[in-house]
Amino acid sequence: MRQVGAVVEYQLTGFLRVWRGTVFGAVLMPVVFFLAIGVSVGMLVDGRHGVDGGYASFVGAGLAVFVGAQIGLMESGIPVFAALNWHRAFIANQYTPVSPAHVVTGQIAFITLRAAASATIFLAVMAAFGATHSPGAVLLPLIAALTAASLAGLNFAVAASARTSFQVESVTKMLTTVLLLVSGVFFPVTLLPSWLEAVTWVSPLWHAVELGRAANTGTGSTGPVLVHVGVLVACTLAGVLLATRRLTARLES
Amino acid sequence: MPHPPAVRATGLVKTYGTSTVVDGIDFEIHPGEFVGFLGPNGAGKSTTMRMIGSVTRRSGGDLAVLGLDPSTDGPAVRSRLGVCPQDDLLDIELSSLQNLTTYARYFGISRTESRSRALELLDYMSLSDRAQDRVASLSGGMRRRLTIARALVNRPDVVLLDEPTTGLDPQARHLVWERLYALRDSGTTVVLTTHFMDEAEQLCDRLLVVDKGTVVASGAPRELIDRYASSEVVEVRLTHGRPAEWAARLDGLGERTEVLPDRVLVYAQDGDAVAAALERLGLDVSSVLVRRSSLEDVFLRLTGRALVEA
Repeated sequence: MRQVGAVVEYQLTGFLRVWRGTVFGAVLMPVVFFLAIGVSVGMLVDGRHGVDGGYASFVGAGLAVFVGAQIGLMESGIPVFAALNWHRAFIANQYTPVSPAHVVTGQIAFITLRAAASATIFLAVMAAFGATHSPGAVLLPLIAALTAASLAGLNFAVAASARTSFQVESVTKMLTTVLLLVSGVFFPVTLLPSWLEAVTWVSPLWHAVELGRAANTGTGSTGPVLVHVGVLVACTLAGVLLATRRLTARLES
Repeated sequence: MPHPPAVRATGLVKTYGTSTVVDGIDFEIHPGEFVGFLGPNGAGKSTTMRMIGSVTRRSGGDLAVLGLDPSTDGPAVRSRLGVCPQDDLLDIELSSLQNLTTYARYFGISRTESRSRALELLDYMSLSDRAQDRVASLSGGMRRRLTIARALVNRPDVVLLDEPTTGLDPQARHLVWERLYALRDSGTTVVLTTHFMDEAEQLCDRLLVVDKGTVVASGAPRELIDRYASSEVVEVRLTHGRPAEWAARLDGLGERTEVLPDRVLVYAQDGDAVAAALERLGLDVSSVLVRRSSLEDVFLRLTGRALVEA
């Protein structure tokens, strides 16, 4: 645990030097999406098709969770590749008592902190526009953090195995785009063809979005909530294990 | 009761696929010793260091570091080692101070103590005035000193230095040497690899000459010179002709001769006697240099002059 904390501390030290450069991608862009689509387009959308509580609220909860997904994928892609191939901080870690499992867990823990912090700012913007409908909305940063964790491990494993930064960037962008489009962030997945709707159920982001909306509207029932949380936790654990295996193999090669 | 060795290797082997990089070497390094690994590129020095550092798993043989097996007790071994790898592996976006404090935290050292040790080490390596500067702005020599400082941040029992002065200018090298002398005097066990014979000769109590994955000789620097080289070497250059053409005429003047592209080396116990004999031969000599044998002569004799790229 102490070593995991040291990895988080190292990441935080580096982040505090460059945080200004991350504000646009991590916070402002989702806010712009929220204002442009959730608030503006929302004026043209009625309450049919399961868009309960207004479209701004519907999109807001989805985007709050997507903030986590985006940070989870971005921060486990190129930064991991760089730590192995460019500045090689993970190679330096080999000479300390820190193990690959500590590195993976620490990196993902740091990513969840960043996701929670960005989602908190986003939540404040949502609240300012009246897009929160339940005290449960305060759980959105926590859900965003869990979303980040559920995706970061898988992408970490990709970055630890990749030969070029192009491969990492391609996978990161593809995952981000596909997940954004098929996870019901902007529209209810019930509007999709039934076969495509079934595909969304394997997306961790869809489970996170459902969880976020349930929290924001206070309408979640225990069974589905437990399933959504279970899927996200399972993805996180599987991702950590996979990433640890890939990092160990990479460091020993 | 004598102290157990700081490092003990028996039949140590490392293979990568079908390639054997370390081929069954045996050695012991005792607490407080300053031991150097000498060898050409690809000889297996760095791989041996990586196995001692419990970063690379051995493929065969036995290895004990501070009484522990690096394969099963890796974190415990690494917590007592300080490693200066061949590449600096510093975070160039962080300051010198931050590089040391964040690294210290990996060893479970408290935040206050990390800062205190980092400042002390920066001072020790004459880097105090660059403590807050990003590593990206430091020269190569400063980065190397910072990497050595980082290796000492956990006050290790054994320090592994992989080519610590490669790429440094003479001033920086001498500063590093001073600090390494102090480290030696403090009783810390130090294991070093280097390509600089003067460095090995001045710093090391004992040397292991490694070639093609095996230890081909070991002993104190002076012992190796006495054992593998004559007392003196005469370097002979002729005005005309290639050395290979007239080298045969020098046979018998010393213990052995070696032909180089621009000169012939005659190894002898008495260099002046060889010089006098050369004069009697009446060769058209352009220069004769009599010098003491060096570790470089030993190294080249044991590992050959042919360039072998790893």
